[in-house]
Amino acid sequence: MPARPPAWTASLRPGYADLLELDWGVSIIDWAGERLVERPAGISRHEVRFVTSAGGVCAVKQLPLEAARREHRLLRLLEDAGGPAVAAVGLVERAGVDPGSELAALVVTRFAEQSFPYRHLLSGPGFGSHRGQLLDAVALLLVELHLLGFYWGDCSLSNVLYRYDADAIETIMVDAETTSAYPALSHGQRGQDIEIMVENVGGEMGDLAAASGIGLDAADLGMGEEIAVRYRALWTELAAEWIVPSGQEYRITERVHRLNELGFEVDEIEAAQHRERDHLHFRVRVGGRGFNSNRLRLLTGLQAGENQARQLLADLAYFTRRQGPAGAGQGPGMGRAVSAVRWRAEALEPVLARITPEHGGRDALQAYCDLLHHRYLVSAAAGRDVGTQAALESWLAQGRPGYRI
Amino acid sequence: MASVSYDHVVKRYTPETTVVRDFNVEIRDKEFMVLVGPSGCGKSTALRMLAGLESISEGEIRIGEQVVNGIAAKNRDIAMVFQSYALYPHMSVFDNMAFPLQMKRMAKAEIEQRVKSASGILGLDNFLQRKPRALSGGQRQRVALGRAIVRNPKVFLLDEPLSNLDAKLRGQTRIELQKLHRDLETTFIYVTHDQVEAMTMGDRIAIMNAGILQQVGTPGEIYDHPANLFVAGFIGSPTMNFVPVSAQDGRARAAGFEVVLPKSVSAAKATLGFRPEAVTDRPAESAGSLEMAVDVVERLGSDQFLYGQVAGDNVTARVDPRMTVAAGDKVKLTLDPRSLHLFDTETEKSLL
Repeated sequence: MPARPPAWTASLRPGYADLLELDWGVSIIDWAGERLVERPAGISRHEVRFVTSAGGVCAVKQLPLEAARREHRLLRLLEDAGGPAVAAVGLVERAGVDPGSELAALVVTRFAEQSFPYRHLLSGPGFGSHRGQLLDAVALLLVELHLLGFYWGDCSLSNVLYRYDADAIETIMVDAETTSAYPALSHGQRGQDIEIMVENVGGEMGDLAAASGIGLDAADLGMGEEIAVRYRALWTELAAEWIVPSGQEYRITERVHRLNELGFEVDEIEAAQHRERDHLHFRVRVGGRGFNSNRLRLLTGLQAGENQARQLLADLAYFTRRQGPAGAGQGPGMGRAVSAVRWRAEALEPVLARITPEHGGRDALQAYCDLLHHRYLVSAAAGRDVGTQAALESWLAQGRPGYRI
Repeated sequence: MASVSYDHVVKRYTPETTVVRDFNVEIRDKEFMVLVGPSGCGKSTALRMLAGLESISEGEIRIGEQVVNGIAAKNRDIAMVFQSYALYPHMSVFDNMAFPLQMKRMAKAEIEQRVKSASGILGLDNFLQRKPRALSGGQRQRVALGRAIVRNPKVFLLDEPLSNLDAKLRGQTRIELQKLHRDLETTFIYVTHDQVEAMTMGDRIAIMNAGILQQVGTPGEIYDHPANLFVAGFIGSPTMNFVPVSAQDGRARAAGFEVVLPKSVSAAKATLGFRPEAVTDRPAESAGSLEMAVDVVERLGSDQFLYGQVAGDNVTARVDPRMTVAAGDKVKLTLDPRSLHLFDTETEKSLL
């Protein structure tokens, strides 16, 4: 008897083999059981369900075959490029189903834990304080994608998940259905992507208003344009050509430091002598964002958000100053490495053990960042450095202020 | 409303990478033009240059009388359809179409007039106060179209707009787009890799391959008179049969048969082309007969396709569905003299 063709085929990343236990032969609409969990999903034209796995919670989206293959490929490309998008975990193709049918294939992505949708930021009591952070975060996300050569084609607030990142908000792109990758984006492509974002955000604000019984007249329809303004300012800062007079080449270093402060890695500096020979033109080629998180990972092994990493590195410097020179006589490089190990063992871990016994990972680091901010506030009020231990007791006594998740 | 013209347009990414070569097309006002070709043929790049998303390396693009090479995308008065498909669940159908105009601070009366005009064309008049969840899939798709229509653009650009849609919705939307084009009386330029979409939707089709325009014509012209081997093979499903022949004094000789050509042509090496429906078991008139060894019979109800060999050459025939035939049979078939094509094997150009 000839072998029957498989009902479905799956390609999954290591660590997610238990997803094979799911019933891929039926529509995800018909799935039931304890593996299903609820997580926030954006406005999607396709069905999405969330399931648990040993590798973490995964989003499963059901869509036509070519659309699924394309999105899976784009998400892998984004991940390879260090882009701020959810990680593709797998692709499942159902054999014998019309490839154009909604049931033909499934894209599986890892859900970004501790993340939440934009409505969480804008409809809560903290609307005012979070609005600016949200605008900055979305502008930064679009800039990052464009620098990496990705045209989104459907940037919206609901196609992004948000996560607290120290005193800022980190964004994660969750929908790459309309995304295309290029060696570099043209001015027109970037402009089009911004236009789409402005309209999408306008629609989302109109929808948010409508959900509260408010008409379009009173909706925040201009929010997308505000993001566009921030995008343009940031793009200019990152991509502009700069001219410095001869003898002031140190200003190139200033630019690099400024970009590092913003979290961007600098891949290359292109410089050219001006015709009149008294000016130097230069342009900085910016790589992915992750300057601070990469430094922190190399020094301590910790995986943190970019802004969390910036604060944690500042705390490492604070710790080193208070401890005096570590590893004296072993050279400056070894000193930094030893300090980092001691900081993690003596400063960070004991605090984490007390403040987040029930949590781990990024959530714990966010709590630590909130404590660092509290330490600053208490010290400023006291007019002296109160130290981490005293700040911790005060922070716990006050109900962990700033701890938002 | 406007015509669009590409005048010797070239797109070059690097000196070695030219993706569109000397592209010349006149798209008439109110025409539905489809750019079709395989992946990487340059069709989307040609559209993106018109949209202002890609710079133009050489040549000129005009919308109406205006050269748009240096004009920003948002000032070209064009609409890319389906760039955003999202419908907002808490907003009414009216607001889902109106909000982009409200964002531009357009006067209320003007917004109302535009939305009502679009909803009339789309058959959504009775649904304007409903929420998207109360609509069918096809109606929701029409609301998304409405958002592009209310802009009143001179030209609608559609880059593979159906590719992410479910097959059923794709079929419905294809019909909606054709009706919409007829009702709006505006120029549509549509990019697809799907030759069926191209044949069913376009007033005219421009076929591209490897950055080069191969042929422009109505679906009928292209189907019946392909300019070269590429076009002949790309358009039509199942594809045209190709058999190597030598041609002399108006006769073409293949390994297993001989046909009378409609024109006196001589070529030592040529390719005879004939569509499956040109191979028939019930000839009105015949250009020649052939004996086919049938490998596979495919019955589709209204059609019956035979796949097999004629003296070693693969041939597909579309025969009367009532013809009794089975795999392994040898059947005698004839060729319709009006459906023969002959291509130069070297240049691949049509010789008839």
